[in-house]
Amino acid sequence: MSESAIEVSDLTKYYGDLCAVDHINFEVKKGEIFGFLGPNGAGKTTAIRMLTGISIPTEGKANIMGYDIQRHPIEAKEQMGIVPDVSNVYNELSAWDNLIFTGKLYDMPKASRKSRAEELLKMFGLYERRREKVQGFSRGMKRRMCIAMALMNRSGILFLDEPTSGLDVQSVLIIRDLIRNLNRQGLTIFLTTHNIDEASQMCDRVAIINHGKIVAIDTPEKLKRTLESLQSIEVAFETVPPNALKDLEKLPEVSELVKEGDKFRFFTRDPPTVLDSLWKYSQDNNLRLITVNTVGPSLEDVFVKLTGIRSATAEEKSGKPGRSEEQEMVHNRRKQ
Amino acid sequence: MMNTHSSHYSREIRVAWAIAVKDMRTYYTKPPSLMFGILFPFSLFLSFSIGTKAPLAAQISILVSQTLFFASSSIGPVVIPTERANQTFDRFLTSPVSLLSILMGKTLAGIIYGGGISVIPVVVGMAFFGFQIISLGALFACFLLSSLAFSALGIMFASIPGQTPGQVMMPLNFVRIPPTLHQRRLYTYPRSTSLDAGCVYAFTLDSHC
Repeated sequence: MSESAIEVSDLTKYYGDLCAVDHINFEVKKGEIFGFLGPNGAGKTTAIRMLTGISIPTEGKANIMGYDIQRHPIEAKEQMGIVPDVSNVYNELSAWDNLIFTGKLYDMPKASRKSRAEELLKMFGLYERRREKVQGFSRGMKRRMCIAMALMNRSGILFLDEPTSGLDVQSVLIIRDLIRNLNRQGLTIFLTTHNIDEASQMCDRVAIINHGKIVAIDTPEKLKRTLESLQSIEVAFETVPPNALKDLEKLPEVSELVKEGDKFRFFTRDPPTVLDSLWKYSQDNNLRLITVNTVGPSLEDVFVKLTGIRSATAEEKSGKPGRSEEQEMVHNRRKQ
Repeated sequence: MMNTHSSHYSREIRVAWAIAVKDMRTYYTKPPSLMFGILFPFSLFLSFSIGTKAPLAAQISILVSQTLFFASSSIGPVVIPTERANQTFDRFLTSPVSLLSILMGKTLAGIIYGGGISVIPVVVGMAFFGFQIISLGALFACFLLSSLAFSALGIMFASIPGQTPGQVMMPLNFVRIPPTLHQRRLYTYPRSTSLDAGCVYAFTLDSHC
């Protein structure tokens, strides 16, 4: 029996002349949380649609728990649960009826449908409201409902497309906990997310896709280590002199300077040298340093570097507040 | 091998029935279903019957056939675009369900809707106008075959890639309305051509039953 939950080889999709997914290859091991990251239009959704059998690949193949999704779609689909980016629950039906209907689609026997529906509703904290129509549920509850429906058939793999997108903090935390618990119980998770922090926190491995090709695939920590140039130092001064930006970006070994709120972030390959220069600069200008942090590259930095997207786009992906126009102006990148 | 096949087919039927029941519960009372399935044929009937010299028996037959035609063919164009818009149709595509089961389920929902609503004018005719059913078997066969054909017609039009029922109903009505006008013409002007008779026969199967 294969150790791979998902095996993808040379998967390709053309829409006319446009190559949306270009010969991608990867493998997801059983029991791992695998993150799939990429900017809009990179080919993520097309890839997932091929993996889940919605769309037919132009070339290549994908195996789900050993079953070719094209040759044995029914068997492959029995192994997976899918949570799309939109909570596609039946609003007119109750929570209970949604789950029972899903059980019927998987042709589960009546007794096991009922027991599984009860178990899931209790697990997801929806049991008390099982008789209510789903249209009255909050977004977070609908999302949980959607995940519960995907788990109805006790699948081995769960595809999650942006599971926490647009939810409040409490719902996000609940869903992340649920995903971790499900993974601890042995479920393989294929997680597509725009939230790079989420991928960094939750995934055992991540793949970054851009222009239809996989540009990196590794553990988040290893990916971060590959980019030494993205080490940085965060500094905040008590007061900032008017010409600080121009002066600071001239410091030796600084590859990039970004103003983030009241802090300056210096990207460098050589943090000690920059620290020395900063110390000297603050002494010369009678400035008091109130914060000094050395920061390793984040997965977001790696993502931005590998996909080559500009800051405004990166902000969309991370869900973090973006840089203002002023901040963008000081975002001067020097040639390394 | 025989058992495998029979269990496969019984699974297809179970899943199709589950889809049909879900559609009945979810979409039968949606405004587009009520409008195109009940109000539309009833309004057409009223506009035809006012001032007509056709006998009452013929008028009730027209109402039954029009109701069956419109109601059966309305469910697919309501359900499928709505499910596309809500992305609930993807649920079928990612489930271990064959396309045959999905189509069977959707068609069945149309058959039951059309058949169920068309029984109402029959019952009204029997209760208030002294109508009698000469052949229950023939009437049932007409209902079944017509609603199957009309429901499938609706499903076929629902393959038009739209996300609102209106996008499908619009072209479908170009097909549905002309035969109903022809039907009216048959009863108003009995001397019709053979082409007229053929068209009318095709679309008024129930009224002849």
